[in-house]
Amino acid sequence: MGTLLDLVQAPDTPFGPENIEPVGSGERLKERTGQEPGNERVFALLQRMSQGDEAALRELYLAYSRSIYAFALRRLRDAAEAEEIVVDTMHEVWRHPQRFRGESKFSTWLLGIARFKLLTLIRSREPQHEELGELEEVLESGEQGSFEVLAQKQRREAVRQCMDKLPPEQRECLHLVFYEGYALAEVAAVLGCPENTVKTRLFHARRKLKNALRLMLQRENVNE
Amino acid sequence: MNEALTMRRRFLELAPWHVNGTLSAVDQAWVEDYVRSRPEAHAELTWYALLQEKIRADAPPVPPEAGLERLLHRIRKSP
Repeated sequence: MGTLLDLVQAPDTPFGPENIEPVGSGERLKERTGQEPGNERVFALLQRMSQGDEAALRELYLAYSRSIYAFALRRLRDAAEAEEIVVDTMHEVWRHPQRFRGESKFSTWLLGIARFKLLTLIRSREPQHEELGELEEVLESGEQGSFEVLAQKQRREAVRQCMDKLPPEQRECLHLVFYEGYALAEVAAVLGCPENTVKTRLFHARRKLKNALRLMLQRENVNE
Repeated sequence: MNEALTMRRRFLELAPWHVNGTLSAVDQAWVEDYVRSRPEAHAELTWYALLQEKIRADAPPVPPEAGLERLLHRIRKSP
C-alpha cells in the first residue's frame, strides 16, 4: 500500500466482501505522537510567558512549530517564508498570550493566527499560484515536450505535485484533515468558514486530485 | 431524492473524517455499516487512507527549534 498506482486505482479496485476490512487509522496525529500539550499546560505556559518567561515560550515553540511550519509550507511552498510565519505567529503569542481563552484547542487557535499571517504575506505579493486546471490543460494539449517535462519528475512526487496545483483553499483543507487530523468543526474554525464550505472544498479537491493523478498516469503509460 | 443517492452523499461527506478518526461513534458505525456491503465505498475509504499516508509522509523534515533563536532575538530587541 502506498504507491502512486494504488492511489490512482484504489477507487476502481474490485474488492470481494470477504476482503473488506475497516479502513482508517482511527488515530489522530497529535495523539499518536503525543506532541500537543493539553490546554491546562498551555495556560500555565502562557501565564509564564505573560511574565516574560522565555523558557515557557521555548517549550510552546518546540511543541507547535512543526505544525505551523507544515501548514505554512503547504500553502506557501517556500521554506524560508514558512519559517518566517512560524516566528511571526509565535511572536504574536508572546506579545498577547492572554488572547487564548481556551474556547478551542490551542493548536486550532494557533493555526488560525498562522493563517492570518500567511494570507497577509500572500496578499502583499503578486498573484502567482497556478490552478490545477492549468496542469490538466497542459496534459490534455499534448504539446510537444509537455509530457516529457512531467515525466522527468519522479513518480513518488506526483501526489505532492498534484496537491500543489490545487487551489490553496483546497490544499489547506486537505492538510488540516489528513496531516493535522482535525475534525470538521476544527477545520472550519481555523479557516474561518462554515462547515459546509469545508465539505465542498474537500469534495472538489478529491475530484481534482483523482483526475490529475489519472491523467498523469495515463500519459506515462501511453509514452512508455 | 432517492434513498441510495442520499446515503451515497452522506457516505462521501463522512469518508474523510472516518479515515482521520474524528467521526462520532454513531457516524463511525454508520460508515462501517454502509461500507460492509459496498466494495466501491470501501475502495473510496482506501483511496482516502492512501492519500492520508502520502500527506503525512510528505511532512517537511524540519527541526522543531528552527527559527527559535531568531524569535528570541526579536523579543529581546523589542521593548
